[in-house]
Amino acid sequence: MAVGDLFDGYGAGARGLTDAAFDEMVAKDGTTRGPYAGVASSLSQMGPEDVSARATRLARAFMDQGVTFDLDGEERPFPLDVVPRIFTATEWNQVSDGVAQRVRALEAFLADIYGAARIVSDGLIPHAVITSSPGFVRAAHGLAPPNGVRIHVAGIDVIRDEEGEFRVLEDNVRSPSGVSYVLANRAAMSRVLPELFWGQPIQMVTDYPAHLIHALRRAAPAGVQDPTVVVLTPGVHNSAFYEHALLARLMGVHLVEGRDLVCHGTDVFLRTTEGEVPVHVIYRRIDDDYLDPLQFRPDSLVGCPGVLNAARAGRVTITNGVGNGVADDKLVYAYVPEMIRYYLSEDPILQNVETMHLVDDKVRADALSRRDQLVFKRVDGSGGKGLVIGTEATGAELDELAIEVEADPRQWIAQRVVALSTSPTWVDHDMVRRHVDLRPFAVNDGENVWVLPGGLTRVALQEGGLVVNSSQGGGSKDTWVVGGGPPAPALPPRQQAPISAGPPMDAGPRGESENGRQQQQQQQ
Amino acid sequence: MTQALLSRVAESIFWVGRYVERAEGTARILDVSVFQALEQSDVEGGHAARRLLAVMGLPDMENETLWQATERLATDPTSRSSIAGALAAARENTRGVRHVVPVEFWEHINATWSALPREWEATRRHGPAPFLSFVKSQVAGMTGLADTMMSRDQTWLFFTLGRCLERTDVVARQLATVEFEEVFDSGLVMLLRSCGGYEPYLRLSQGVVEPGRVLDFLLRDRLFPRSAFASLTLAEECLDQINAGRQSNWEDARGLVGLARAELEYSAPATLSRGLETRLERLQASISSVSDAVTRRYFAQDLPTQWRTGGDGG
Repeated sequence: MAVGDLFDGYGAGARGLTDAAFDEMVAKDGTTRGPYAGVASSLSQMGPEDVSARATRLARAFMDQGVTFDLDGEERPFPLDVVPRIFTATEWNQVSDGVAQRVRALEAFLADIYGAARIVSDGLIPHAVITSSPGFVRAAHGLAPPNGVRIHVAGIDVIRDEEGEFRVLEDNVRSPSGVSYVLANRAAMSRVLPELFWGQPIQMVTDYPAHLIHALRRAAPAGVQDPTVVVLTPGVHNSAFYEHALLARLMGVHLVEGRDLVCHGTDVFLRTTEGEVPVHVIYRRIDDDYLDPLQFRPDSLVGCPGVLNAARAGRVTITNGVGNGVADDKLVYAYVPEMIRYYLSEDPILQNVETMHLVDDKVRADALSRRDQLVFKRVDGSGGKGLVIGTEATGAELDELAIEVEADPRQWIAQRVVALSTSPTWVDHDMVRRHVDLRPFAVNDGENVWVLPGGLTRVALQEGGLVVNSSQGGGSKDTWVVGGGPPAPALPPRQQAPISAGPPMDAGPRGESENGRQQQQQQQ
Repeated sequence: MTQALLSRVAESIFWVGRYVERAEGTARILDVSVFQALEQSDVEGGHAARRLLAVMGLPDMENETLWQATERLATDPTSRSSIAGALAAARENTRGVRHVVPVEFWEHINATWSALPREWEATRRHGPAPFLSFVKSQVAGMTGLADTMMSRDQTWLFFTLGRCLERTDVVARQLATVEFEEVFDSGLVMLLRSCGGYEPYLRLSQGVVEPGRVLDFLLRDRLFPRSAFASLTLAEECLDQINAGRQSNWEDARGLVGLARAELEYSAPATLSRGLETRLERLQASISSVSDAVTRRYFAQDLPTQWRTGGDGG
């Protein structure tokens, strides 16, 4: 391999799943994949001392900026690795098209399931799968969004299997988080490691907030010309508060808590120093259960009483839609490829990971007998909660799992353990192989599903670890799509777009150099 | 009425204000241009380099890369447009009048100036980001010390007048390099960020970035302190206090500033972008004229001399 010292012996000590995994940078024959050549040689030229120094500065930059997540009441920086994750435009187009396709199918599914439910009457999905889903909300029936969009923002988790094939691991269409790290990672990397960027036509990520605000404004109730959009957060103690604040700031909208909102009849208002101001679109980052104490949990202190009624009356739009959880239920996940064929008449661009339905007695018995080799997931789990990896769990944990699964099999699915692809990662002064996943973000404005180029790559910093969640010792990587983007915003040929030079700047005071010379002479 | 100041001292203070503001403006423009170029795949950074130099009114060297342009704008000691040049001039002018400025103000400028080479040295290892953020926070310290430590006497008034004129000049220069008819959203965002007005603008417009509104915001928002209108208004207030009620006429600095401000204030929103190029040229020219008029009136006192001479000759 021709990339120098820093990568010598990279991956040599990999065992088991890590050894079997597809590596993002180094092919099986030991050659460096094309898009990584520039980054590998830039890092090698820096040498280990400098790379470690940069890693320290990345961490400090995040602490200074307050790019943190809350873990058990403590603010921690989300570790950012010095090595970016890089996709070619060809690889990315497959992911991007596949994600957009999936979002379109899930939109159709939600519209159907909270309407005529054709997919059930046509026999593709059992009625019981829908009604038993914890994310299915009866109150969402007949809640028709003004521009037909329920999934304004989606985070579709994608992994690469042992062969390098992209597969969807799970869909997140309630309030997927993490996009703030995509923005923060890019800004920090370009400031701390500018050398890596030179000569790389990387597709930009900075216009995400512009796409989001555009989609949110288009979701406004009919007839509202200049809608007031707000971001609804549970508050400063929520683990994703940093993200809520960042998005509100970059969209120029109010960041509100439930107590800042008030309903009168079917209208929702903001309490401001200028009196009550009507609200038209609520980008909520709180769960359905807590959204409206009149409809859901009466003990919710972070919601706004009456907001669901206002939405039903078409006076305010709640984004993402209420009841979206049924679409990212992990049992429903297994039906998504069928949905794509059913609603869109297309073949799925991205495959699922093979999933076992534990409601079936035979399947369940088989899965539980091999529970030390499989992954078990709660159907409504996210963020690494309700996740048991058989190969990493203890015997006692697995026995407890078996009891829980037997007690309520609808709440669980099982999947084979996929060796997530690996990427070079700087850990303790050494370049090592670590497993990564990917969360691309999609924004649906009703006409178009736009996918942010790159998305969030999370990396499991523990050796051999497969859990990438920040709450479980995960970090992240700046994620590049190189080439294939729209032309750079400002590269007109020199002759066609001359930039006329401004006048030279004023200088003064008058005669300063002459005076200075004479003053010096006086001292001699 | 504020106490009179030696003309020479006033002139130095005025230029300290201009140079300090210029250093900050240049740091902001560099920060945004360099990292926008990296993040927006302007691979060679050639266009960004040309725009930078055009903004600063510097000759465009053939094939200069963004790095070279950045180095020139950050460190060239021979140019009053570079950060190092502007801060050296600010420091030199403060040194001559250190008896009338708060000691902390002088020490802050002096320490900043002497730390610059060391800070730039670190740039070779870590890129320009820490250098630029150092400059921005040091200038914030200088202006903060001026605002909290100085009496609102003529020292502060001339310092602030200098800052206001320079700030208007920087905004006008930046606007002049943007083609408003064919600008991309990202170009407008870059313009807003390099004027330090991105976030206030977003809050005002609820996130909608639109050329006409951006232009209106940067030229004549009443509340954003870096808009041309707000800067000119403060400059007027400074001149009023310096004049202390004495009459002025239209060719005075006070008249010229008022004219430039009124022209912005009373243009219909729809006409703002019409003939923009001429409007911006006029705005920049009037800043230079105001600067000259301030010099004539308060520093050189040419006008009264000429008038007396004329009288004697008759």
